[in-house]
Amino acid sequence: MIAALSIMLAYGVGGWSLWLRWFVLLLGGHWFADVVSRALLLFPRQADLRMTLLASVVASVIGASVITGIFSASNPSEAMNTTYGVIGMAIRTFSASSPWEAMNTTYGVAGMATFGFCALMLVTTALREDADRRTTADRQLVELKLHALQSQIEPHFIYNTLANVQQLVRSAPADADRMLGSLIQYLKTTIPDVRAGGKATIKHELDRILSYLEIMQMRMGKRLQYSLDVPENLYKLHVPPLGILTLVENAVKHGIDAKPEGGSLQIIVTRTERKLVVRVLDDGVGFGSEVGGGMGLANLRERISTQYGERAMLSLNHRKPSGVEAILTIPAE
Amino acid sequence: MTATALIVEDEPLLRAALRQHLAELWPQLDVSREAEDGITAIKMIGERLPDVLFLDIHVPGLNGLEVARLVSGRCHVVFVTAYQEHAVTAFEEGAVDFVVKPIERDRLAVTVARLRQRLTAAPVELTEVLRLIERNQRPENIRWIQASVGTQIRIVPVEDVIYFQSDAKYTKVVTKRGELHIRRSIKELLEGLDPNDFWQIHRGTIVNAKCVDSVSRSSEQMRLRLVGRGEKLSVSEPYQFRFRRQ
Repeated sequence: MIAALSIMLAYGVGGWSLWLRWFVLLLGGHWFADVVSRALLLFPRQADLRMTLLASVVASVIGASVITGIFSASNPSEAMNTTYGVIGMAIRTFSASSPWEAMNTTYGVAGMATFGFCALMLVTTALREDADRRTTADRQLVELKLHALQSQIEPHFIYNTLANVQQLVRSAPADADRMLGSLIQYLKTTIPDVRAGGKATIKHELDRILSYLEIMQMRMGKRLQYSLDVPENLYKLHVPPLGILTLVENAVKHGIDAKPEGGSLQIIVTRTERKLVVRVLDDGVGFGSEVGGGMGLANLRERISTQYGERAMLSLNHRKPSGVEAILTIPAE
Repeated sequence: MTATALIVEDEPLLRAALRQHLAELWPQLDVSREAEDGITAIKMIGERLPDVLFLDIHVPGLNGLEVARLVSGRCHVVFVTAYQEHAVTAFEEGAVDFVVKPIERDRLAVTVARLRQRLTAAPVELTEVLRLIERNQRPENIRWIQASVGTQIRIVPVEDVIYFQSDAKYTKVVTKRGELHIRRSIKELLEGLDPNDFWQIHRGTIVNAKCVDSVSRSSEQMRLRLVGRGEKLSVSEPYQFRFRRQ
């Protein structure tokens, strides 16, 4: 539409040769500006939206002028020297004493039209690209949360627990009730947190760890023993949600459950002046393999590094005679 | 003659559930024997071979697949798997039976009916089915590397590895914080590493793609310079395609 209108207007004002020049100018100016704006968008931190726009507009004017100059000249050296060259277009447009005068100059019309057209295109391009960047960031966040949710609440865990509940309903209904209660508590405390992201208090985290351990102890019987040593005055401090649970689940699943006779788990939380130290110890089979694929640990490491940077640390050590000691150190806040 | 069964399942309640269901559906079956881990299962099978083995694939000690391999062709095996575990499609062949936890009584009844028919025939060889199951198991990418440094054990996330290089009997793992040595070979590592993140550049070298800084060529040689490191890695001919321009 705009193109058709431009063609008609240009033809009416200056004939075909002008139209040709103008067309080249429009395309060339916009192309040049586009390249510049794209180059700037590669460095989103240095160039915010306004800077990008300003640079694009300047680039489009210069680009349009250069191209007009070159195409209106009869040979290359004239192109360099001519007043229509390099900045001729811009000067003619901006030196006019009124918009009307600018409109009256044939080149003025072309210049203003180019300017307006390019600016419009660039504003839309820049806005669209900015919007794209935002959507990507949003999508990454959603994917991260979804991933956390999936790795945390495995269908495996749910189905096996329900299989246990089903048997308890027949053999010991009171225990079935208790186990179902723990499962509900586990799901209730886990799902909303994954959605919310951010931080959880130790108290909150302990609630779900206990519900998880209660379920696993009923499932594994005597093969799982556990003890918690968490001073009550630390309950209000914050921890990454599902963080300690990841360590506990790892210890139970890969350490204790992998050992025929089972084992015991200890959770010890202490605080120094600035740091909160969470230790999860088990006497299971340990890291038997040289390489491994557990998602949980890698995820947790990534999360604490985004959240606390250098102030947080997760280390894993072998225990003697067997088992793993996981130590999570985060700022006490 | 009463048929005998052995139930191999690590969770006591699930063991009881299966036993009770079987007692109701197949009263003639002797379900008195059960094992809670793979090693005990092997011991009990050694003492007396059951007619039917109900086998949870995920048990401590020896896993269910290893137990199945040992009894292949000697007794009838029914795999007991958790939901979606171990790609149960492999069982659709019909050679072996399976039940999914939580156990559905009607489904178990079908299995029992089939087993009663099969008891008269010789147990099938499981080699083929086991191969199918193992192939269908989604191989998980390596996420961390563990290695001994003196008496301590270090666990390094795989993204912190700059490159792997074979070094006599060992594989040298070069990380941002020093070197480690592991026994796993380059070939074995290749199977577990994400091919988008780790590129083989030589028969004995795998490099972390994120750590590659630039490529230089001189006559026949192609070398990689790494981000923030002095040493250069040579790229042998079969792997040079990755760095050539199209």
